[in-house]
Amino acid sequence: MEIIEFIRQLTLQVMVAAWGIFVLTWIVGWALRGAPIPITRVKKAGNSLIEDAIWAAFWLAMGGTIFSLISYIVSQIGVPVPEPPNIMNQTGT
Amino acid sequence: MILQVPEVLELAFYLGLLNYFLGNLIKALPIPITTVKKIGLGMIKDSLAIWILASSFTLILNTIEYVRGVLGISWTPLWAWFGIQTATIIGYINALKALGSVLGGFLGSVVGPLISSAVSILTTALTSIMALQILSVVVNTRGVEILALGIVLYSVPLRIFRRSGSLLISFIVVFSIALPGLPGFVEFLSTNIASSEASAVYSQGIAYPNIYVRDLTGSPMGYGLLHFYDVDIEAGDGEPIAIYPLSINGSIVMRNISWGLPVGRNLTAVLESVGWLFRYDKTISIPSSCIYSRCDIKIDLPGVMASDSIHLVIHTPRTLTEYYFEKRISESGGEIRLLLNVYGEDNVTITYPESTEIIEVKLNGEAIDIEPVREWSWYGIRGYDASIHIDTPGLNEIVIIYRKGEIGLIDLPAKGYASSLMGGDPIIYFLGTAITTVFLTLVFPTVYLSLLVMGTYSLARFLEGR
Repeated sequence: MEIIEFIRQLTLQVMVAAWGIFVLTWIVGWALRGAPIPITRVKKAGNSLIEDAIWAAFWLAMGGTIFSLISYIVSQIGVPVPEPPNIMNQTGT
Repeated sequence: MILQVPEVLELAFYLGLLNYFLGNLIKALPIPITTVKKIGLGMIKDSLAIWILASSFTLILNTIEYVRGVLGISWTPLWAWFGIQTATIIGYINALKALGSVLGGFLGSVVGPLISSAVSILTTALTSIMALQILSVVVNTRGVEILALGIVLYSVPLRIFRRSGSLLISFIVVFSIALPGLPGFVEFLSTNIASSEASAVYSQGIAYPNIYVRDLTGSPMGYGLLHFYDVDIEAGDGEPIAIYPLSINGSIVMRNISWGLPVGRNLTAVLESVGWLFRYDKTISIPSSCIYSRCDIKIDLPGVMASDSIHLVIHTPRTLTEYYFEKRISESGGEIRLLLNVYGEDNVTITYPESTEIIEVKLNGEAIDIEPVREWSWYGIRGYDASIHIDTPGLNEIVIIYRKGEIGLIDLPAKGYASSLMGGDPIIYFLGTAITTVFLTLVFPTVYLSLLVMGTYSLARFLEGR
């Protein structure tokens, strides 16, 4: 289907962009942190950028694993439920 | 472009993936603002919810089935309930309209507005039943698709359609489980007010056909009581379900709402007249089209060979094979000439009230004397049976010349089918049952539906994560 294909392409592009932005943020973060500016706030901002970028990279890498974990758990629960006991027959007497 | 359910789920999965990567992208943006980071984290969490929903599609469907099975409710009784209620309401509307047309004069002007408002409320009830029916058909046949659509709307990034998606999902979950329980709910609330027996009978319908009773020659048989029996219930014996008096011209025109006959049942008729019971040899089944439009039912009694209404009734002899007749009837008397072909010795019985004077009876051209063999009395009319003996098989000619007298109006009782069902005054019965029906089909379902809507809303809030 066209729309599914479109969403897939979009997702792929977003993923590539996300990796790119991770690299960019990581570099910007280190640049801020290592810059010769003696202001603590700038250093801290750089530090938080690096931290967020690392987390984002971690989740990006874990994406497939998380999804397959969810699929596995749900497929274990999602097996057809056995027939319920027939209440009508039990109250028949 | 029509998406099938698996493709819709696939779409939802990719949308979840898109959500996930978008969230990561936002989180990785080199903007040191906490709000933006939080949006990214929220999207990552959303994508987990979307994946769980999209992959538990069959789990949701199975759970719905399971809960319905545990509660012991299914769609089939709901369809049956809709059918019965629709038929009942239509029956009441028709009956009330018939009642309105029967009543005239002062009573009509008093009851008329009541009837018209009752009809309008019943019409509303009918509309609500139909709307419920459509809703249940949609939930039953399109539930899977709507659920998939809800999941896909739920999955659109940035929570754009999250609210409508979760509403659709919870609508299908709640209504698939609980909507078939509507008859049980209504029954539970209405155990005391529903006259279920009468409405069950009424749902099969009552018709008010015109009935014409004739002898073998096609002449109308007046002055009689026509008994109707249900063949299937009483095997034609026992209590008649209805008794209606015939007018002088041998017809029953049902201008009374408490009369009527059941539709679709096998009936047999017996005419009670001049101290005799004449059985109709066929079964009558009134078609349901008679409820809505005028219809005529003709009953040709095989036991009466020829007649001049009540003044002279000639019974069919047992061994008759064929016959020819001539009738000359005037206001004051008449002459009936019959040419009979019988295959054995036989008797032709004639029945006449005492106001009729038999002037002459001729058998094969010779005048014979006849003596009354039995005296009868029937609703104030007294009369005699006499018999003409035929010795020789084959063709015989009988001529009966008579003079007839005045027979006053006789008061014949009636037992209405509808009034025996209602056990009382039809107007009060109909208005009362109209109110009951409105409660059954309008008020209680509305209460139930609002409960379901509340449930849907709560579940939607839960899914939405608020």
